[in-house]
Amino acid sequence: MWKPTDQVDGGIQCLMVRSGGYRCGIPVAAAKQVSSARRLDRVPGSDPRLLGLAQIGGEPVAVVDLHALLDPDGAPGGSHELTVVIRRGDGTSAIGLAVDEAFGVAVINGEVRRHDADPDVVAGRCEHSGRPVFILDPSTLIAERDGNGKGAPNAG
Amino acid sequence: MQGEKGTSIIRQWLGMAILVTVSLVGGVMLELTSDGAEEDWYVRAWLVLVFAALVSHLLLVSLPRVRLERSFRRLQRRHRDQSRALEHAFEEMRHGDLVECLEPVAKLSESMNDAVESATHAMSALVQQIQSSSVEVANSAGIVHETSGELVESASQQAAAVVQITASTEELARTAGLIATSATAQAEFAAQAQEAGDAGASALEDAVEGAGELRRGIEDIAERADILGRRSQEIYRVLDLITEIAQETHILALNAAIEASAAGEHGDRFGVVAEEVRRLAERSRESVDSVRSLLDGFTGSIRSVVVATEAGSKSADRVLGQSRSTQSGIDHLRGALADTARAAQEISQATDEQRNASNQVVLTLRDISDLIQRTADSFQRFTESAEHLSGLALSIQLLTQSFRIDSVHSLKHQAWGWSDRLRDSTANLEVVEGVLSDIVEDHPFIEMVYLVDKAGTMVAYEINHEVVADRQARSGVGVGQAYADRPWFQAVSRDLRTAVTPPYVSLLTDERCFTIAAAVRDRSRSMIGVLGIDVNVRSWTRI
Repeated sequence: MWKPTDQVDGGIQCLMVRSGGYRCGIPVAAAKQVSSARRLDRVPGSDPRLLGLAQIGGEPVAVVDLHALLDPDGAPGGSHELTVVIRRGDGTSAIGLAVDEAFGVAVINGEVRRHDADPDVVAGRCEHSGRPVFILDPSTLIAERDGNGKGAPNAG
Repeated sequence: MQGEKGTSIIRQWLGMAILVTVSLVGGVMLELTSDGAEEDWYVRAWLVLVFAALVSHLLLVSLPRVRLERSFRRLQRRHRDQSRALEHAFEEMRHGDLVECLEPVAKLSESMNDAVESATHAMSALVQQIQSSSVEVANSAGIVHETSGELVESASQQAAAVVQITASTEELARTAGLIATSATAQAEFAAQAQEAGDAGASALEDAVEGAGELRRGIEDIAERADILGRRSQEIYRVLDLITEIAQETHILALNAAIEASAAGEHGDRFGVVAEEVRRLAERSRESVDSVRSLLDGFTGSIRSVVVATEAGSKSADRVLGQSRSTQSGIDHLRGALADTARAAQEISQATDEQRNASNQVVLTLRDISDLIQRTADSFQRFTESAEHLSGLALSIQLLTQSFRIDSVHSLKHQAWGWSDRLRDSTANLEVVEGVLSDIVEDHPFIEMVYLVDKAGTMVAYEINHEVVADRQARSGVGVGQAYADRPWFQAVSRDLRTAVTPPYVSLLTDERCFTIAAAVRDRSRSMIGVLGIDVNVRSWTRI
C-alpha cells in the first residue's frame, strides 16, 4: 500500500492526468518523466492492458493503458498522447502509463479514501477542483511490473 | 296508127279530088257544048264520069268512112272503159292505196297495164325507199339528237367547270396578290430581323467576350483560391509545428515541474517557472487550436470558393458554350433570315408574275367560257335541229304510211290485212280478242289495238302492257268507250279507207303516238266496224 510521502503543506503533490473519463493524480515522487507517445512494439501473448514496449530515455519501457487499469471491464479508448514513466526507487524506469492528457503538478489537499471496488493501483479517491480524482499507488504499479502484485499487467 | 291515119286522109282528099276533077271536066264539057259540037257525046261522057266519080267516091270514101266511124266508136268505148279503170286506179292512188290501184288496171291493155303496174311498183319502191330513208333519217336524227344533247350537257358541264376554274383562278390570283404582299412584308420583316440579328450577334459577341473574361476571372479566382489553399496548408503545417512545439513545451514543462518537485524546496521557484511555461504552452496550444479553428473556417471558405469557382467556371464554360452555340445559331439565323428575305423577295416576284399569269388565264378562261357558251348554244340549236329533223323524219314516215304498199312495213297494208282477218268474226268477241292479242304480241310498237263498231263504240281491245305498263287505269280506256267523234273514225266511216292520224300524245303512255284506222267490211264490202291501232312512235321508229 502506498503511503502518501509526497505531502506538501498537508497535501499530496501529484501530476494530474486524464485517461478517458478518469482524472488521476500520480504522486510526483513516483513520476520520472512525461513523454509524448512513442512507437509501441506489441508483445505477443501479453496482457491486453499492455499496449507495448517503447524506447523512452534510452530504456525499454512497458506502456500500460491507464484507463484499462482503472476500468478493466470498460471498452478501450483514449488518445494516449502522453506517456508518464513511473520510476523505481533507484531512479530507473519501472512502467509507462499511457494517458490522454497531463495538466501539470498540483497539490491534493482533500481526504483520500479508498473504496472497496477501487482497483489495486488506486490508493484512494478525493475531490479536487470539484471533480473526483483517483490517486494512484505507484508502489502497486511497480510491484505489478515486477510480478509481485496482482493489479498491474506483467510485461516480462 | 300513123298508116291508117294517112290512108284516111288520102281517101278524104281523093274523094274531094274526084269531085273537083269531075266538076272541072263537066264545066269544060259544057263550054264545048255551047259551041254545038258533039254535045251528046260529051254529056254521056260526063254522066259516065259522074257515075264513075260517084262509084269511086262510094267505094273509096264513104265505105271506109263508115268503117272508120264504127271503129272509132268501138275505140271510144274501149277508151272510156280504160279511162274509168285508170280513173279508179288513180283514185286509189290518190288515196295512197298502191295495192288496190292495181286491181282495176287489169282491164287495161297489156301495155297500159304494164305501164301502170310499173309506175305503181316504182312508186311503191319509191315510197318504201322513202320510208326506209326516213327511218334511217329518224334514227340518225335520234342519234344526233342524243349526241348533241350529250354535247350540250357536256358543254354545260364544261362551262360550269370553266366558270369554277375561272373563279378558282381569280381566287388564285387574289391569293397570289396576298402572298406577294405577305412575301414583301416578310422580306421587310426578315430584313429587320436580319438587322436585329446583326445587333444580337454583336451583343452576343460582347457577351461571349464578357463570358470569356468572366471565365478568366473565375479561373484567376480559382487559381488564387488554390494558392490560398496551399497557403492554408502551409499554415496548417506551421500550426502543427507550433502545436508540436507547444506539446513538447508542455511536456518539458511537466517534466520540469516533476524535476522541480523532486528538488524539494530548492525546486519551488523552478516549479513555478515550469508551471508558467506549461500554462504558456497550454495557451499556445489553445491559440493554435483557435487559429486552427479559424483556419478551418478559412479553408472551408476557400473550399467553398473553390467549389463555387469550379461551379462558376463550369457555368461560365456552359454560358460560353451556350453563347457560342447561340452565336452560331444567330449566325445561322442571320443566314436563314438573309435566305428568307431573298426567298421572300423571289416569292413576291414569282407571285406577282403568277398573279399576272392568273389574270391572263382568267381572261383566257372567260374567252373559253364565252366560246363554250356559244358552242353550247350551237349544240342546243343543233339539238333543236336534230329534234326538228326527227320530227320531219317522222312526218315523212307518216307521209309514207299514208301509202298502202305491199310490204310488211306498210301499216296501212298491215291494218288492211288485220281488218280482213276480222271480217268474218266480228260477232265472236273471243275470236276478235284472239286476233287483237296476236296483233299486239307480234308487233311490240303497238300500244293498243281495238275494234269499234260502226256506231263508234269500242267492243274489244288489247293493250301492250310492256309499253303501257300500269298506266291503263288512269287513261279510262275500256269497252263501251265512244269513238264516234274521232276524226279517224269519221274519215274511215265516210271513205271506207284506211286512215293515219297525225302524231298526238297518248293518254296511255304520255308519249307520242298515232292511230291507224281501217274499215272492217263484210263480204258485201259494207262497213261493220273500224279497227284502230295506236302506234307508239318511239318504239316504232326504234324498229
